[in-house]
Amino acid sequence: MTITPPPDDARHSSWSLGETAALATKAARGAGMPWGLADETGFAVSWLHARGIAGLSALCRYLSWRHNDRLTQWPDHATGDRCYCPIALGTAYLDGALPDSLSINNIREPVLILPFIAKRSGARPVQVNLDQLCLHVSENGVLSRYPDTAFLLNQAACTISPAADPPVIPPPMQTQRVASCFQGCVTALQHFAGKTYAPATDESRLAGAGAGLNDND
Amino acid sequence: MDAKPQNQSAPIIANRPASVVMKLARMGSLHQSRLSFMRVLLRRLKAENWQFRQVEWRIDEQGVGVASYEAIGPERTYTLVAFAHDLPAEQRSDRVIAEAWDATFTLHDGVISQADIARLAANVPRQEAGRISGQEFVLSRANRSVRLFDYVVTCLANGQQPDLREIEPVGYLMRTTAVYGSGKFGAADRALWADRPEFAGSFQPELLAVWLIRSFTIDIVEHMARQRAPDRAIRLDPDIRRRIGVGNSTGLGMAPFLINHPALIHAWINARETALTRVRNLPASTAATIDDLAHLAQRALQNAAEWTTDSPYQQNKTAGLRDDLAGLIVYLKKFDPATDYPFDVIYEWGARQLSLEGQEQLVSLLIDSHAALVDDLAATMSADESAYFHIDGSITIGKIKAILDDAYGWVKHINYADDAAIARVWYVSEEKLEPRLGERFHEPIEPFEQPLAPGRDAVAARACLDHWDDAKPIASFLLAHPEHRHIIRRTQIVASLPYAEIQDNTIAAEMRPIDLLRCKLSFFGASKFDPRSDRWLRITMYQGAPFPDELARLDPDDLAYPPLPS
Repeated sequence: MTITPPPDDARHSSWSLGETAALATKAARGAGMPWGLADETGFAVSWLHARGIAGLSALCRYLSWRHNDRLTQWPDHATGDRCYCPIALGTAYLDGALPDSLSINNIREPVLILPFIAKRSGARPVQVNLDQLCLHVSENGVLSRYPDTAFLLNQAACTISPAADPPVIPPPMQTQRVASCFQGCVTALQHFAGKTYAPATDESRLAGAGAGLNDND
Repeated sequence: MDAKPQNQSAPIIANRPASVVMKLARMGSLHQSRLSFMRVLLRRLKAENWQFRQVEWRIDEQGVGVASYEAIGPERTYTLVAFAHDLPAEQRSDRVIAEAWDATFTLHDGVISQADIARLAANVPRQEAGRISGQEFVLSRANRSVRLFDYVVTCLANGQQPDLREIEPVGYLMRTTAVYGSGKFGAADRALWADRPEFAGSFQPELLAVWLIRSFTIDIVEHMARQRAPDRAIRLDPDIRRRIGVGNSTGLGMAPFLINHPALIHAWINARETALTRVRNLPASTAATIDDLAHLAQRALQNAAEWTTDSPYQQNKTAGLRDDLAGLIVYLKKFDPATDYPFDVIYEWGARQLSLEGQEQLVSLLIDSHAALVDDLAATMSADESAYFHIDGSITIGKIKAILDDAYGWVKHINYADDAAIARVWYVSEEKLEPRLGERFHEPIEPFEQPLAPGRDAVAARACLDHWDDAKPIASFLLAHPEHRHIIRRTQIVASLPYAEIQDNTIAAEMRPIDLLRCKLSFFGASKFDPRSDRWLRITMYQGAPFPDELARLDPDDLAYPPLPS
């Protein structure tokens, strides 16, 4: 059968949030996270994209940075010039292992911690400072005077505090799609996800799926 | 039955406990019932008077081209788009890993445009290698049953109806090898359509697509007959046509689903168990109702008699089922309808006398004979897993230990230090990106293990927790031990959803993945399970069900069991 190559618009089609979360989970696992934290990564990236924030970009940058052997353990213990992992720290914050108000010296790709802060804060916004960037975060989303791309800091000091005069964050325009412009990130994350796949062997080809009987009838 | 109080308001018989239900051997013996999703779908389509029409038929004399079908409901219309291909026999593989098929399909949200058909024509035939959009809900493909497809074409081209004795053992003209939904390959996320009433329950878009695919398989076989003999060809007789369903081949890809969707599997099992409990709690019945149940058992026996398989494992089980049903029919014919709590008595008799196949068939028959009592439960058979995702870190370690000891008490019977108890590894193969099951001690696959052994992981977490103070919150433990996070999450889910966990060792040397598949497929409404190994099986979907042009005048639930020979 001749297969027609897809037209450009199809090749550049958008992604569902479900497959985006699944990819983020697999990529995080492929980069070495325990499964439980990898699942949290899927949640975080999906939460950000549902609110129009580039979670895939942040994760892509974070896993690439980690890949250079700067950190080898989960969770991270930031000492010296090292950074906290936004997923491990965010998860600990959401779990309640850390107090409501918090100051962290150095957190890598801090946008990835926002979904965890949002989930803990519920409907009442809290103030999050990433270096000089001041944001308000609630389960509805992230409110700031800056464009979303400004959130993509490599690393920053992070302060979480009650919002003195909390703004009303309107419910998010729940976008269910991740735009085709993230194809580059998707490709990079697929590389990490690939580390969760076992290379095939002759034995596994035959036995792994239980082949043996004729498929035709 | 003296011990049973005569208070109808409070059930006196509780749901069967998870320790009984959530065993692989029993889950691998489940049968379809009126709570199965295909039957739920057809009941709704009938009740809401949905209309169906073939909108497009551009199929050439070789059987290649495109067709489309609209399903028009009270609020919305959906379109099945079918692409028919000319597949050389040597490329016809049931494996999910194939790269070409006899036909490929998608379910589109709304009336479709020619521009959308052109977009889909470039992608749907490529399946996993293509992309669909948020306007599509399902991606699927199917291969012909070469033997039956050619036989039916030849018969119809010769002006003759095919013989039911040829049709029944196969039961389909085409079998699907994958039916993807919920955000896969670019399709719309479930959240996009979850609140549509027509899709309440589980897998309704996928099963709507399969039901329309069934019509396509008939249309193309009749088309091919007309191409061969335009003057002589006839159409299928409706009574024969109805015995043709859609086949399906299912392998390991589906097995992890039940473990990865704990809230959903709880919702399914809980609905079925609640239905059984309601029936068992009926304090009285009538002779007519008991007669109806006996008649239904006879039709189930007819189904079991028609159920053929090459699998010695299933052959044994099916033979036992036939004996069980024959015994049940004798028992019901002698049964005193004036017995108190008659259906509980019948159920308890079955629990003592019947094999697991027979017991679970009886459960389905009890459910099926009480429509008004159970049908509302269909609406409860869905779940939003994300609602159960977040861990409550404030729960004390002492409480988590207690939940682990209770909900995972069944692990006490498994010695995970024994090689046979951890012989298997679930992994995903790089080559095919599909779940696989390997041998831990014979293949280099352990580093790639998927988290699909909750029992083993619960034991490990419990041992680690022994060193922790009961009064501390679980959050402090998780900060130090993220490697146990996934099982602590499950522990919290199982604490509130008892049927969320399979209470068996999913990596044991003797574990049979087809038990997992059978459980899921029975909830879909499949019948005639035909294991092709311990890892994949074939089924028939919608065999006996009405076609779109018959739905208004036929009862789909009555047709779920084959008719008795006249």
